[in-house]
Amino acid sequence: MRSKFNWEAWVFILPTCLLLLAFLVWPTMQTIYYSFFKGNFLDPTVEFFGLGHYDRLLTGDRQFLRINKWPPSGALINTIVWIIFLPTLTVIFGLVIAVLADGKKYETFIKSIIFVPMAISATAASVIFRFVYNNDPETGALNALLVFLLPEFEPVSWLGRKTMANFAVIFAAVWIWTGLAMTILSAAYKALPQEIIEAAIIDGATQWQRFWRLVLPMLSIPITFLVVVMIINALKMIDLVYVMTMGGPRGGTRVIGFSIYVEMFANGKIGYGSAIGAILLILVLPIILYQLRQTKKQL
Amino acid sequence: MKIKFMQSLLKFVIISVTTLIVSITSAFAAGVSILAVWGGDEEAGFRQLLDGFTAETGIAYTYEGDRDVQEVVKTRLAGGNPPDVAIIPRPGEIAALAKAGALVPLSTLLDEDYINANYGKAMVDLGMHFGEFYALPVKASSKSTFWYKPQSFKDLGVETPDTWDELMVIADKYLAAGKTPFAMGGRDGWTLTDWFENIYVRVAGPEKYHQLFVTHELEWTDASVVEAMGYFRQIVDPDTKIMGGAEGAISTGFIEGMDAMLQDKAEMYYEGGFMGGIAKQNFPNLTCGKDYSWFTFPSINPEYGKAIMGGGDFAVAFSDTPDARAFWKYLAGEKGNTAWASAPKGAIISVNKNVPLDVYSPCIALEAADLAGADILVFDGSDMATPAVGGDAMFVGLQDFVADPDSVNDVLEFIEDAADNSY
Repeated sequence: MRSKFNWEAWVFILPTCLLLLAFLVWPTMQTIYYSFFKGNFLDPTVEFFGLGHYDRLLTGDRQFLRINKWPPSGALINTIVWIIFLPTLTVIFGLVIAVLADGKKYETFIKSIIFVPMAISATAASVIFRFVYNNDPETGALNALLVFLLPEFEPVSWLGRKTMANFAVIFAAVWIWTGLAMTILSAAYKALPQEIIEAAIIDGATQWQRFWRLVLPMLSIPITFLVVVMIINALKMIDLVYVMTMGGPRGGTRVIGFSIYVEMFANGKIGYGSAIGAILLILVLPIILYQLRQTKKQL
Repeated sequence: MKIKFMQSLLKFVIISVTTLIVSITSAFAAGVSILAVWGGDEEAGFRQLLDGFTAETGIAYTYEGDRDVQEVVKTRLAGGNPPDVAIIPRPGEIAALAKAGALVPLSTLLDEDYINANYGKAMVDLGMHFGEFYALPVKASSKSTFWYKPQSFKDLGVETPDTWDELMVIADKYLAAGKTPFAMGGRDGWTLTDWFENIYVRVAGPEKYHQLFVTHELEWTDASVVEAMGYFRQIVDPDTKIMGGAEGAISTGFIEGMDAMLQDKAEMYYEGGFMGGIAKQNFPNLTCGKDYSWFTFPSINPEYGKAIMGGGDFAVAFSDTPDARAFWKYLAGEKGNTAWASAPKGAIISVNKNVPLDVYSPCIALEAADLAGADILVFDGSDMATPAVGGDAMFVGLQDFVADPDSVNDVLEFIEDAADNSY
């Protein structure tokens, strides 16, 4: 009986399978296929190019990867910086706010304010931060604040300096997503089993020890989840970059997602853009596999 | 219960049938679809022509405005659903479309006599690709307009400059007076390419200009490019001459640069004639010609004088239907263009030679005269270059140059490398 082909089950999952095939599997295969060709938007496969695009991306295109000049630069490096800083900062800020605000009188109020950026579109947030980072203290809130605090301070062009602009955009993203991290961690924190913490108090553990040895390990699942989500957010970043800097100054905020857009749609290089897409896929895959395994474990 | 069910069934049927009819009529009968870059005032101006077309012929039109028109055209072509007519600013893009076989030659849609009766040869030449007339120039603007404030010049005791050296003298006088001579809108990389192109055509002439941007017979490391960059360097090095220094220049948008000049944070701003319309919108209480005005980008090599770099938009055809033919006739004709050029909002400088000059406001009439009277007229070079160079590598490279003028050789090698991989 068990081995009998289950028609009903297949009928139910067939529509989903078809949709996934049409909108996910097929385009992915096509992208990988195109990445081996030179061509245009009408015919992406004019000339077979083998691994030529990958070769140029990794060795000859300084907008994508430049390692022969210190500091290394290019879209790949900028994306790696995103992957390091976005998850770290959102989780740290989210956790600190969640724990410190917990049980306080104004908890709901504080949390609402931190969460508001989540409700703002990325475009609006970008425009806001373009003003915040303006180099003229009359318009730029950040420079105005620094000039007010440190009278000696020379206003900085946060989005005009190549080494700084990427971090400036990352910080705008942190501002947006800290609310999400805070909400999830706060919910998890409130759900922690109180008996264990009470037992630790009775055993004489200090607040610091309780945080590091108990709370943090017990929050590892939501933290892992957040880190994975933020890494994926970092990898697919394009909207903030597009509105805030257009990849500039001097290519300093170009990230992989933005490169795909520029090469494919602005420069019309379908094969080259597809190759960048394939590299992005290679970067995302292990993270997604890891998350799938984690989810399975929990089930 | 039953009546309710019948009611909703009826509703459903009515809605489906209407949707069906609407979609069928829009697919087969709804006249002409036009895709262009314009929104806001610019769209309102264009609609003067479009509405005139429908009033005269009874043929309906659908207009879609999208800032990313080039990307949208490519996507819709790939999906087999291009608009009938698209208006595209970049000749390089049009050449690519023509090469890919996506365009209908305009000679099949319009009589040659009709074209010649309405357009000068120089304009028709701008729309030629691979020996075929594919693109009708529909509006033009000068990109050799250097904005300044007449009162500020008067206070400084200077006249508008004719030569590059005179411009640099004015810059130094402003510096000595404790003012910032130039604002720059370098966050938008194309403002820097416009600077470079104006300088380059004045240093090397229109022939080399064509070889550098269009055919890439000339390499970016050529001595003429290096020489032009030397002049550009006089503007950006030392960076005290530009508002916010080098970093300020490459983080300021093209509108912010003009705004800054009008807010007295800088004294001059170079960018095209269209900045006049933007200034009018952002500072309605200031008047062009009185509070701000422009002089023609000064000459460098007397041989080439004050060459005019023009920008413009071109209409291209993706289909050949009777409705489309009627539209092309109207689009290229005197009546529609006069209506467009004299629109209360979003008026353009028409390139149709039958549009009378008196439809323009004084500041724009000046620009139209500059365009008409130019000895040397070249099109925006980065718009003619292949997009990977003119819309990407040049942006990044020139930002690099502004930030670090010593890196000029590195920058030129970088642009040459991109060109080498794209032409």
